[in-house]
Amino acid sequence: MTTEIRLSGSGGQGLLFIGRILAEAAGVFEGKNAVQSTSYGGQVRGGSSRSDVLISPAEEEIDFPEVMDADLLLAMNQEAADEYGGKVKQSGVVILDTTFVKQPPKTRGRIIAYPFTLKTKERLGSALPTNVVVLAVISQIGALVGKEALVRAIKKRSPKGKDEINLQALNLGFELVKTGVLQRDGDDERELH
Amino acid sequence: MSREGLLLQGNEAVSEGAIAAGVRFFAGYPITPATEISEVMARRMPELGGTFLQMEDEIASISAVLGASCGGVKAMTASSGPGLALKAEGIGYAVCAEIPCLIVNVQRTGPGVGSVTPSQQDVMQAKWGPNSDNMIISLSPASIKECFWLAIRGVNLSEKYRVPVILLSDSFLGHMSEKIDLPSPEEIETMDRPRPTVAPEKYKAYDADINGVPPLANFGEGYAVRLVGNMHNKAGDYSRNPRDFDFLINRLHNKILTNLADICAYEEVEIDGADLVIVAYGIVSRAAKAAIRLAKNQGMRVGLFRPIVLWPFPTERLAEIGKKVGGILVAEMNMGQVIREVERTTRGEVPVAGLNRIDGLLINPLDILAKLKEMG
Repeated sequence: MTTEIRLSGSGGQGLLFIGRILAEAAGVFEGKNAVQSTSYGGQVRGGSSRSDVLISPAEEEIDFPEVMDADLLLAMNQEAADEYGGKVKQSGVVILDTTFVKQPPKTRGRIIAYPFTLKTKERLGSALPTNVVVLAVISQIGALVGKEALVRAIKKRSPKGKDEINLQALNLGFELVKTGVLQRDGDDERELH
Repeated sequence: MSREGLLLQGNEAVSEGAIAAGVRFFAGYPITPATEISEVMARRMPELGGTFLQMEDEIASISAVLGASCGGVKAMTASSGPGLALKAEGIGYAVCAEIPCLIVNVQRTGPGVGSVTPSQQDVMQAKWGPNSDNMIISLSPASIKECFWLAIRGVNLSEKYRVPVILLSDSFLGHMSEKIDLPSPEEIETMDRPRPTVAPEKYKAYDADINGVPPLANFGEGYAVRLVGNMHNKAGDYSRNPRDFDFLINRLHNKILTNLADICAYEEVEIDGADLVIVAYGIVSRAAKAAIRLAKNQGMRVGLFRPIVLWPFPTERLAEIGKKVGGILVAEMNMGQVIREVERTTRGEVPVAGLNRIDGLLINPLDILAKLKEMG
């Protein structure tokens, strides 16, 4: 069974980076099959950005490399939430960063809404590693990949001098899931409705 | 190099494959979506004692590659459709002078300068970009693993047959990442151009029989090396003799066409018992495989024929398949290029339909499935 993950938002939010980390952690460090692709033109700050990751067991080849119906959708801005909210499975999960997404999209999936960017800035003093916080959250919610593999991939792919803050961000993401704050703050979604 | 898993982009895998095949010279001019190949080669060539040159334009890049190859170094360049249009002059020269080289085209969308999104719009350009009855080899990878292995195959074929080889990647594949287990060097077969076995004074630059590949000496080793882009005779002298024209042009074709069993490669999926067969190549073949999976769930029997070598086109096998099935669907990200070859090959013996997309987005498995149902 292939798990389909779509990471969407704005250029500069680091979605391509975490897509590659996720694919490398699952594919190289956990021996699964993994494909990561990107929609073009989003790498510059400001434009829309999309990164798809598909993960399957080692014995199962991944054919089509783009998400058809997402198991997990991350939307880091309103436009992305609106565009991709409808392309999520019934059993899927939609993760919204309410720092930017003010209206929950129409979707069949379960919504988890949390102000990731705001909270990352509060906790780590910078909003930049929000992408890694979200990566940790997605990995656990989707049971995609273990922490050890993520740590290895982050150490390998982080720009020089950025691995420490990225590992702190990873820990923060694990903490958010463990403490149940996402489900609690997930109540925000009622306010959103 | 130990066996290790890596997550590579298509552009990185092509570069590493070419390096594994022995390429030690790269000249190029930056163009999206091929630039990462230049970036990798700029880093890797000096590490390996090779040469990286960023040239002033596309024509200079192919010219530098041809010069390097004449010096005895395996050489490559990479660009996209608009760059290949400029490089056509040099590629045609390499066809006539029989200079081995690998040319990567990471295809983008549209005529003119176009745009940077993916397409398969340069399939005919690969074959017919240069003037005249152009005989080249062109390969079409569908995965990161194939980007690596077909770069090796491309270098090998270019050396063995002294012919330019065009690797047709695309903007999607070039930037897609997938896991690949890199082989150890002893698992990689590399090939070198045929070398002269005669003394320098007896060497004739184009001495081969009507189906043959002439031995190629390096510049600077005492042989009179003539690399001639004009019509020429076996000695490499400029010629205006009709018999020389006839012999040379036939030989440039025959050296490829008499070795189709060695050169052609394709993948077949569930062809036996299929009612309909999809012909798809490169990235689109993956949508076709997904569509076959979906069709199977709905009780349809659909197969896939995927040319891995696009030029020369695998006519013989496709003609056989055409006689056995009820219809062929050619799915490609252009206005219909390979469908012409499929129609030519099957000669009206089977209905042939096309599914085309030219907006820079991938053909979706559901679109293929819908078209298959329409064909019934």
